Amino acid sequence: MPSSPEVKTTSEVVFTGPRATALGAFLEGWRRTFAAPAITLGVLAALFLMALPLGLALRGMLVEHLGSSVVSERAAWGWEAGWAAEFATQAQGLGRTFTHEILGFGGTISTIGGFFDAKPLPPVVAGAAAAYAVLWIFLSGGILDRFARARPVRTAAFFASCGVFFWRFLRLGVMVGAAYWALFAWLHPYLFGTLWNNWTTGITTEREALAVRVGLYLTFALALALVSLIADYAKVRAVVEDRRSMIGALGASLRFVRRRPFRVFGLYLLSAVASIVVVRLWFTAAPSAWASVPVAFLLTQVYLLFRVWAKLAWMAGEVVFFQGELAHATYTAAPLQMWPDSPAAEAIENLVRQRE
Amino acid sequence: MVYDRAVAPLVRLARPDAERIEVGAPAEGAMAQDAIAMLVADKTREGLLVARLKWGDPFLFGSGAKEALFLHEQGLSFEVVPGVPVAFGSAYAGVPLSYPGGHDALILLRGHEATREDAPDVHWRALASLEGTIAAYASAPQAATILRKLVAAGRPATHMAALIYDATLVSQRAVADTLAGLITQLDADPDAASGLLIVGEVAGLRAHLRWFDKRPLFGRRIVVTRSHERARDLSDRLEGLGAQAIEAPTFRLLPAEDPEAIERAVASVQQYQWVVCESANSAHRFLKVVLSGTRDLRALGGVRIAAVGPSTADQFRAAGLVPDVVVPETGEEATCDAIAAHGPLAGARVLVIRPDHGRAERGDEGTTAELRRRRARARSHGADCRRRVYHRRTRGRLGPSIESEVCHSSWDTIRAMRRPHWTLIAAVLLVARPAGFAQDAAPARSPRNASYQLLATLDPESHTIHGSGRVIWRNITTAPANDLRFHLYWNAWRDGNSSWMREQRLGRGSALARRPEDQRGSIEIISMVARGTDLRPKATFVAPDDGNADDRTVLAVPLDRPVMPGETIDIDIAWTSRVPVTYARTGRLGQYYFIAQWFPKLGVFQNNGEWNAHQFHAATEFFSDFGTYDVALTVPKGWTVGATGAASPVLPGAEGQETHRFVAEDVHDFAWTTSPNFIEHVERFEHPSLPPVTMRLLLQREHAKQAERHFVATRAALRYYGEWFGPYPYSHITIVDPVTPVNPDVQGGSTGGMEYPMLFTAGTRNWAPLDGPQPESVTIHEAGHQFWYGIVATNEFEHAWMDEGLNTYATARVIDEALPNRFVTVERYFGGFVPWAFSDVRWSRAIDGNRLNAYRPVATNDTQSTPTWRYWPGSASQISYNKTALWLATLERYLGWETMQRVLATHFSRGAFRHPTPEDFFAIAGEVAGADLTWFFDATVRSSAAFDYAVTQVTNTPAADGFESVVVVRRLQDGVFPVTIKRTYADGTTDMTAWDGEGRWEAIVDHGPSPIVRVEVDPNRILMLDLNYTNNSWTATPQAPAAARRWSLRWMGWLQEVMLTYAFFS
Repeated sequence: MPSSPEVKTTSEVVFTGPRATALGAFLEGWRRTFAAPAITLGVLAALFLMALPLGLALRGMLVEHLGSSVVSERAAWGWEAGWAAEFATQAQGLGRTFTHEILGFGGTISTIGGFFDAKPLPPVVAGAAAAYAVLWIFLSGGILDRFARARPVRTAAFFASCGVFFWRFLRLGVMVGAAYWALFAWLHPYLFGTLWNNWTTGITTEREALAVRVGLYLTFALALALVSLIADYAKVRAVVEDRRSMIGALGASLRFVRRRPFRVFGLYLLSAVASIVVVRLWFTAAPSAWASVPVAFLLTQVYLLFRVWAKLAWMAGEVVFFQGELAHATYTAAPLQMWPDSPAAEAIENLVRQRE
Repeated sequence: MVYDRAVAPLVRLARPDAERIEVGAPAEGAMAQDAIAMLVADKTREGLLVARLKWGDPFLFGSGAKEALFLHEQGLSFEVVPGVPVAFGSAYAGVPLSYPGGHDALILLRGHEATREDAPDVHWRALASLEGTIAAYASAPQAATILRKLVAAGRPATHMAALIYDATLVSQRAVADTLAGLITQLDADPDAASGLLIVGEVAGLRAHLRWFDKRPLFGRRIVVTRSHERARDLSDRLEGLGAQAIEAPTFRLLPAEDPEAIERAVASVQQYQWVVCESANSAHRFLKVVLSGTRDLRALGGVRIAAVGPSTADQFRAAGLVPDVVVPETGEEATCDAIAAHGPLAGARVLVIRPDHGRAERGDEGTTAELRRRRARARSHGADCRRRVYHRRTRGRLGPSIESEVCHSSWDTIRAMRRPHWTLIAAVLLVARPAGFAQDAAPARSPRNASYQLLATLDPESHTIHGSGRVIWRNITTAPANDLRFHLYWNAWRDGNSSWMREQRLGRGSALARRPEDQRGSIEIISMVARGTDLRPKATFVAPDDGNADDRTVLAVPLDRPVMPGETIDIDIAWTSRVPVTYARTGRLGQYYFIAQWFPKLGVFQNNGEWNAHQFHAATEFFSDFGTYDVALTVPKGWTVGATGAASPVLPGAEGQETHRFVAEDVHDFAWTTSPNFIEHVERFEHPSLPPVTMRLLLQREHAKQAERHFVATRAALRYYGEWFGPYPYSHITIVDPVTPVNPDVQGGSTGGMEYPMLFTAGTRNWAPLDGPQPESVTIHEAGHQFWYGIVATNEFEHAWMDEGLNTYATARVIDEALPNRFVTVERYFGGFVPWAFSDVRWSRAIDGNRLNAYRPVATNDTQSTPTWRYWPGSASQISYNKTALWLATLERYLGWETMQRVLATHFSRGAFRHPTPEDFFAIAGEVAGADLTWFFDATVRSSAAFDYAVTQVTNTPAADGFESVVVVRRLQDGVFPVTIKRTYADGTTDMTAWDGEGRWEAIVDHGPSPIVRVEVDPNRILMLDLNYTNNSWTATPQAPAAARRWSLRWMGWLQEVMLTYAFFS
C-alpha cells in the first residue's frame, strides 16, 4: 500500500533519549504515553462505558429498593449502613456486590487482596472484567503500534492496527490464559494450600505466619510477573516485527527476556513501583462516603486516569526497551497502515496509476 | 466544729453537715494557739456558728481564756459553756476529790503532757503540808517529779496517791499506791502515757468506791460487724457494759434492688391477711412506706402483723402498733407455726418483707417458700440490699480463728482420700492456701451440691492430662437418684461419628471431621469408685437426645442404692484426657493449652427424678450445678497457669514440674490455661459501690501493646453490668488472650471468645486497629457472660438464648455507654492478616450490636422456644444471640430503659445461682413491667415468624374541604406487633394512629386542609425485629434517584478498578 506523502515514515522519525537501559526506557515510556493523550482518554472512556450498563442496572435496583422511603434522604447524603445491608440481603446477582467494600481505598485493598487470595469474583463482575479484558486485547495492538511509531497516528490507523492484531492477540491470549489458569489452578493452591498448611502447622504467632504468607505472595507474584512479562514482549515483538505466529512470538519473547533478564525485570519493577505509587496516592486521596457526588466522581476518575497512565506507560516502556535493544529503534515493521481517504480518492489514485 | 483531739469521740454527735476541724491536743506553742484562735475568728466571720470544743473546762488550765480574749478583741461575740475539769474524772476510778469529814482543801495543779520533768513553779513546802487533795494532769516524768518534790518538801512517802490513765474511757486504768510506790512505778516506765495524779488520802478510797472498771465487759474489745445504721445501738450497749466497741461493718444497707416493690405492695396491703417482717430494718422500711405521703396506720386496715424477733416488734411498737405475733427466733418454720396458731394458713394471703442480703429469696427455702408449702398465698419483697464491705485490717485481727478452721477441714478432706500422693496433697492443700481464699470463704451463695477436688497433670509431650479426684454430690431434689450421669464432652471429638461431628458437618462443613487421629480429643475413665464399689462395670454410654449409639458424651452410671434427697455421695475417679488441637474453643496450639470440659462432669438432677444431661451438640454449650472446685494442676516448671478461682503460691512438683492450686466457691465449672509464653498483668477494678475485683490478664507476647485495651473493656463490663444488673460476687477474674490460629484449617479454631466461671478468653489480632471493635467487643462480651452464664447459670443446652442473647444485648449497651462512637467496621484481607477500617461505616448499637444483619436471612429458621440443641446448626447462633438481642432491644424500647433495667436486675438477683427457666424470666418481665407481656413473648420467643411492616400506598386527592388522604400500611410477614403510624402534613402538623398490627393491612383515611407529605410506620423503630425498615416510610419528596445516582457512580468507580486490576495481565 503506497505511503501518503504527508506522513513521515518511521525511518525518518528521530529517536531521542537513552536506549536499552531500564530507567531510560521507563522514562521514555512515560513520555510517549503523555504524548498520546487520545489513547489515554480513549481507554478511560472505554473503561467508563464498559461499566456504565451495569451501573445503570444497579441504579435501577437502588431506586426500586428505596422507593419513596424516607431512608433515601439519608442515603442521598452519605453511607446509610442499615439500608445498605438490607439491600444486600434481598438483592440478587449484581445487587449483592453493593456493600461497604466499594468505599474508598477499602475497595482497592479488597480487590487486590481478593486477587492474590484467588477469591472468585461474583459472576456479573467476572463477566464485566472478562469483557473488558477482551476489549483490552483488541486495543492492545493499536496501542503498541502507536507507541512503537512514537508519533501521532490517525484514528483509522489506530483501529486498523487494533483489527490486525486482535485475532493474533486472541490466539496469544489463549496460550497465555492457559498459563494463568495453571498458575491459579495449580500453583496458587499448592502455595496457599499445601505449603501454607505445612509451614504454619506449628506457627503460633501472626508475625511469623505473615512472613511466610508474604513470601508466598511474592513467589506467586513472581510467577505472575514472569508470565505477564513474556506475554508482554510477545505482543511487543508481534507488533514491532509484524509476526503472524504467536507461538513464534512467544519463543522470541522468551529468548529476549532470557538474554537480558536483569534489565527486563528492572524495567518491570520500575513500572510496578509506578503503579504502586499511584495506588498509594489513592490511599491518601480516596473520597469518603460523605464527599459530594461531583468530588467523589472526579477523584475516582482521576485515580483511574493515573492507573491507565501507569498501565500504558508500562506497555510503552517495554516497547521502547525492545526497540532500543535490537538496534532498530526506529524500526517498526509493516508499512504505515493507510486507508484511503475515501473511495473516490482511491479511484482517482487508481486512475493516475493506470495512466502512469 | 473546732475540736481538740481528746474530744474526738464526741464529734459523732455533731450535725451531719457540720464542718469538723481537729486542731490537735491543746497547743503548747503560742503560734499554734494563735492559729487556732484565728481559725475560730475566721469561721465566725464567714457567718458560721462555731463550736470550740476543748477538753475539760475551757477556762481551767486551758487556752480557752486566750481564745475568748482574741475573739473579744476581734469584736466577735461568744458564749462560754463551763465544762467538767479533767480532775473530776477521778470519780470514774472511785477516787473522790473530797470526802465529808475529810480535809477541806483541793489544789488543782497545772501539769503538762509533754515529756518534761520540770515541776510547776509552786511553794512545795506549803503544798506538801496541805491537808487536802492535790490533783494534776501530767506526763509520767512530770508526775514522778511532782511526787518527789512533795516528798522532799515533807510529805510522808507513805501517804496515798492514785494515778489514773484515760479516766472515764473504756481503756481506763488506775493505780492507787503510796507516794513512794508510785514514784517507783513511774521511774520504771518513763514512757507511760499522761495521766491524772491524785495526791491525798482520798486515793485510799478507790478500793471501796471503784465501780467503772468493775462492769462485766470492762477491758474487752468487741468488733461490731453490723452496718453503720444498726451498729450504734449495739455499740452503746456494749460500752454501757464496759466493753470497747470497734465498729467494722462487713456490709452496708442500701435500698432494695427494687425499691418500688414495697410501695406497690403497701398500696394494696389490705388484700393481705398477714404482713410478716423478718428484721427490724424490714419493719422500719415497711412502716416508712406505710406512713409516707397522706397515709397513716389506718392504711393497714385489718391486716395482722407478725414480727420476727423482739427488735422487729419494737419497731412496730415505736410506731404505735402492737404486733399480733412476735416470733421469738428466726426460722421459717417457727414463723409459720406462730402464724398458724392464729388461723389456718391454707389460702391465706401473706406479704413477707424480708432482708434482701443482696439476693432474692431462694425458691425452695425461706419463709415465703415454707408458707407456700403450707398452701398460703405468699408474696415477698426485699426491704434492703446488702453490699459487702472489705476490711483487711479487720480480717487480720480476726485471722487466726478462721485460718485454723480452714486448715482443719482441709486436713479432714485429705485423710479421707486414698491416694498415694497424699503427703503432696497435704502439702499442697495445707501450705499453699490461696491468697484470696480467706476473702472468698464467704457464706454459700449457691447450693454447692456438686463439688470437685481434683488433681491433674499435663504431659505436653503426649498432650495428655492424667486426672484424679473426688466428686462430692448432694441430691438437693425431692426425688431419689438411682444413677449418676456424667458428661464426657471430649469424646465428641474422638471420631467422626459423634452427634457433635454429625451436626457440625450439617451446618458448617466437614473439615473438623477429617482431622487426623493425632489431632483429636477424648476422655477415658480409668476408675470410678463410690461407697466402696467399682462403678465402671455397669456404666454405659447413653444418647438421650438422638439415640446415636456412637455418641459417647454422656455416661450413665447405675447405683446399687439410690442417693436419697438430701444425701451426699462421694465418687473417687481417675481419668485420662487427650488434649485435641482446638475443637469448640478447647485444645492446644503449640505450647498454648486451653483446657475446658476436661473432666467427667455431672449433669443436673431434677425434681422429676431425671437427669438433665444432654449429649454434646454442635450448637450448644454446657449446664451443670454449683459447687466448690479445689483443683491442683501440675504443669512443666515455668509455665504460667490461669484458672477459675483464686491462685495459691506455686509448689514444686516432680523434677521439671510445678503444681498450681486454685479454689473457687459457688461456681459450676472449672477451666484453665497454661503456656510458657504468657505475659502477665494484674490490675484492680474498684468502684464506689461495687466490690473490688482483681483482674489478671494473660497476654500473648505479640499483643503486648494491647494490655490496657483488655483492662478497659473488662472494667467497663464489671462496672456497667454491676451497676445495671448486680455486682460481680467473686474477688478475681482472669482474662486470657488466646493464641490466634494463623491457619484454622490445620490448627483448629481459636479458643477465644468463650466464658468460664471467673475466667474467659478474649481474642485479638496482631494488627488490631484502635477504631476496630476487637479486642474490646469480645472482651466485654465474655466478661459479661460471668453474670448470665456464670451466676444466673441457665441451661445452655435448652435455652442458650437466656445467656447468649441477654449477653449480646447487654454487651451492645455497654459498648454504647463506655466506648461511644469509637468503633467502625473492619474487614481483613490477605489471608486475614491485613485489616482495613471502613471509617465511614460506624458501629451502631441497634444494628451491629444486636446483629440485625446476620439475623435477617435466617429469621424464620427456628422457633426460639425450641430446645437449643434442636436448632438447625447453621443458624443456631443467630437465633440464640441475634434474635434474642433484637427482641430485648425491642422490649427496652417498648417499656423504657428504666423498666427494662429493673427487669434484668430482678432476673439477675432472683436467678443468681438458681438456674432459672424462660418462664421465670417471662414472669419477672410481666411483674416488673406491671403488664401482661404474654403476647410479646408469644410473638418473639414462641414463634418463628418474621416481622415486616410497610407503607404501601399513599394518595392525596383534592376534596371540597382540602384533601382526602389515604394511607395503606401492610403486614408483609407473619409476625404481629403493635405499631404506631405517624402522618405528617404539609402544614407541619402530625397525627399518630396506633395499630395492633394483627390484620394484614390497615387503611387510614384523613380529611384535612393539607396533604400528607410523610408517613412512618413505627417511627421510633421500637420493633427492632422488622426485617426491612426501608419500607416503613413514605415521603412525598423521595431522594431515591439522587441516592441511587450517588451510589451507582461510586459503585461504577469500584467496578472500573476491578476491571483494570483483573485485566492487567491480558
